[in-house]
This record gives sequence, structure tokens and C-alpha cells, in this order.
Amino acid sequence: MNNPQFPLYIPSKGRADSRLTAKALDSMQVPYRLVIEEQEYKDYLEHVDKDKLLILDKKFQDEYDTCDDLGATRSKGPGAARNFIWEHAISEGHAWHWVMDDNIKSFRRWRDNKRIKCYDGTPFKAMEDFVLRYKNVAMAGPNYMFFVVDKWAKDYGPFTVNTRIYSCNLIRNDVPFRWRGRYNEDTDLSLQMLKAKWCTIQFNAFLQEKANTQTVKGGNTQEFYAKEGTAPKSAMQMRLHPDVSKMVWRYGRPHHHVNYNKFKKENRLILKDDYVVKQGVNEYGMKLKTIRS
Amino acid sequence: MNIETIQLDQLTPYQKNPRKNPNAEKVAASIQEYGFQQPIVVDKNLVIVVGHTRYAASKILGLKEVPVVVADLDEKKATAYRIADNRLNQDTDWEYKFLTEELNDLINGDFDLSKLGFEDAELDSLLSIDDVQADWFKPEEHWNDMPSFDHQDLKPYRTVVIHVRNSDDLADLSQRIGQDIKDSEQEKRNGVPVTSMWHPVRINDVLKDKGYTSE
Repeated sequence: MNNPQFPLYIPSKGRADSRLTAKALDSMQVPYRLVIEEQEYKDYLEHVDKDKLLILDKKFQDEYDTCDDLGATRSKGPGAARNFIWEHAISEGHAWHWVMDDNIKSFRRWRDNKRIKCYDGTPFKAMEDFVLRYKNVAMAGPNYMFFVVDKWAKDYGPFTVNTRIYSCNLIRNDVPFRWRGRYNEDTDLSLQMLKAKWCTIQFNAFLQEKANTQTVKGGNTQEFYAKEGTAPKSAMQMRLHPDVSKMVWRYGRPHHHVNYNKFKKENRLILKDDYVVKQGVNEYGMKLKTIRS
Repeated sequence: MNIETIQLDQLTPYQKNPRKNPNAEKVAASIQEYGFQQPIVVDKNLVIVVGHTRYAASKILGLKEVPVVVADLDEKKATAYRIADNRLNQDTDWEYKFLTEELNDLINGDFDLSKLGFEDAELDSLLSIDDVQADWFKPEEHWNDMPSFDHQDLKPYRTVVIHVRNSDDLADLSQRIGQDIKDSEQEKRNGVPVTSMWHPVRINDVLKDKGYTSE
């Protein structure tokens, strides 16, 4: 059985009961750790083995750069926990780490126009192996299942490059970037990397099935999107990345578009000097089997 | 099709409804924004055949009465229709070019996209400008020593758009082509339900009982 070589972390808040990603990983027998806030420890301990729980060091929340002047008056989002995770992975000597939202229902392989669930850690192992071929990939992850269309499958490649990586991120630990911002952290981190000439890889061969945000209670972002709408998010995007963002105002309501095309053209994947890619197919032992639930 | 208005508390959810309804809050938001555009279908005993999510959404909204169609179906047919209705919904996919165009039209028309039920990241991606494939990028050349990524070419030969004026014409069309035509809940253009179908019928086997594992 294949398992990832790098550690998996799930920042989780207010979702001790649901823990969708943790349950998905349990079904795949993939090890992981949940990163939670101290006051929720007992809630999570009722459902999760204590070896799988890490308590977020508050220092990361205090020092987190929200990229605005609102301080601690409202939720800072998941970035602080993700930075804690990054340093934790480094402290354990890992070269990369996985960080995942806590509302992923399943991980899938897309083949033969079908999005089929995976029941072991092979997708993570394969994605890791792929990014490790290159000297200039900083972040990678599976596409959303929602974004691929079976009947147009021939138009997709097994992966694409230099776009936003979201919700399930394999991150190279030695790059000089960190999560920041109260909103839109995935876009910001992707753009920080892309602007510094690093590549990102988004896999279509492997997919993540996200639950609808509004149907899962808890989480870090739900509260402020519900109250504030998307205006502060778009404003922050324009403030941090005006060079690749376009804001459209309609009756006082902003929407933003991010243009990744420049990075698609300019940031080329570079194989490691000593790496020789074997030709042919490697199924990693994966076989399609009937699953009895 | 005869649509009646019936007290919500007179309806009974089907106890063995095989479909989970995680989208009740989204559907509630949709009903609030656009009104009740699709009636709940019940049997003669007012047990829900299809429309459990609309029923749950109606409860969230505190509606006292809802539009209902009483279907003339026996128990077996009602069970079959309940499953088929949900199953056919699973096969719907977005036409992303249209979807992105529609989203941009909505933006230009002063519409708050947060009411559409998409996740934040989904909207960000749909509105991203990400349409260039660089000359250097040939993913298939990189994808060696990796699991196969083979797909069939399932693109349609041609897409034919047919508009119908009323439910009688819809029923007539349905009969002529020998297919049930369902008003899709999730896909609407300019407020008009859109049904996407294949001729002849093509069932996409989703292989829900199958999974990938390695030895």
C-alpha cells in the first residue's frame, strides 16, 4: 500500500463532529494530524485519538499578517494555523508538507471519463513523486472535482501549471513565502510563488471532492463571508496584487478577476539535473475494485 | 400539469429517500431570491416523490404553503421515479464556457454572485483569466511513469437547442423523442430551466461501488 512520504495536516475549527477530511483520510488509511485551537481540544478529543491532535501555538495567531488594519476584531482566517503547520513540518525535518481544508469528502482519480474514489494513499504518493522531479515547483494539489467535466475529458491534461492551488496544498518547505491575509490566502500564496518565478502544479489526474461550504458548520472563513460579503476580499486582492487583478465595480459591489496567463507563458517547469524520467505508465499498483461499505 | 398550493405540514417526506439533501440552505436562498419556480411532486397520500430538498428549504424559510404536483403514480413507479430523478441529476455537468459567460453577465447586471451557491474558491476560479496554453507546455510529455490518464472522446457531434413555450409542448417533445425531460434544478439560463440530454440516451456509469486501491 502506498502512503505519502510527507506529513498531512488539517487545520480544523468548530468541526469536531464532521471532520470530513479526516474521515476521508481514515478511509484511505492515510496518517494525518488535526491542528486545532486549545479551547476546542476536549471537543476533538471525544472523536479523535490524541496522537492526531496538535494544538495551535497562539503566537502564530498573534503574529499573523492579516494585511489590513482590523487586528483581532474579527476572524483572521486559517492562515495562522497554516503557518504553524509549515514550521511544524520543518521542525520535524520534512522537505514538503500537505495542508488541507477540513471539508474534503473524498479524493478521486479521474480516468476513463470517471471520477472514482481512492481508498489508499496512492494519489498523494504519486503527486509527491511528480513534483519532486522538478527543481522549481513550490506548490501543488488536486483540482476540484467540480471543475472537471467528464464529456470534455479529452481536452484536459493530467495536470496544468501556474494557477491557483486551493484547499489541498502540497508545499515545499524551503521557499521564502508564508500564508498571509484575512481572505483569499490560497490565491495570495500562489501569486507570491508565481511572481517569484516558481511553478505551481494543479493535478487533474487526481481530484478533491469538496463539501459545499455552506453545508458544513464551523470553519475559519464562514463567519466573515456570511457577514461581510465578498467586498473586503476583493479589496484585499486588489491591494496585494493590483498587477494581475482586475476589479469590476457594479453599484458599489466589487468583483475581482485574477489573470494567470503571464505565469503560464513564462514560468517553465525545470527537471532536476540528475533526474531521468522513465517512459511508460506506472499505475502504482492501483486497481479498480468493488468496495463494500 | 396541475399545480396545487398545499400546506407544508400536510406533506410527508418519504422515509427511505435514497438521496441525501445537503443543499437545503442553498435551495432556501435560491427560493428566497427567485421564488418557488419548481413544484414539489407528491403521491396521492401527499408523500414526497421528488423535492425533498425544496421541502427542507421551505421549512428553513418558514413557508406555510408550497406549490405541489400530485403525481398519478403507483407505489413502484413512484419509487422508480424517485431514484431515476436523483440519478439523472448526478449526470448533469456544467457547460463551463456558458457558465463563465453567464457569471460575467450577472456581474455586469449588478447581481451578487454569492447568492448562486458556489463556494468562494469556485467563483474565484471561474472568474480567473487562465485561458492560455504556453507553447512549451505539453503535459503528456511530462506525464511518464505516472498513472494512465486515458479518456474516451465523449464530445457531442452537435448540440441542438430547442425552446418550448409551455408544459404541454414539453410533454409532446418528450413523447416524440421517447425520453423523460426533466427540468433541472441546478441549471437555469435567464431564469429558464435548462435540460441537457443525449440522443439516444447515454447513461454515464458513475461506478459508485468501485474504488481504486493498490496492493
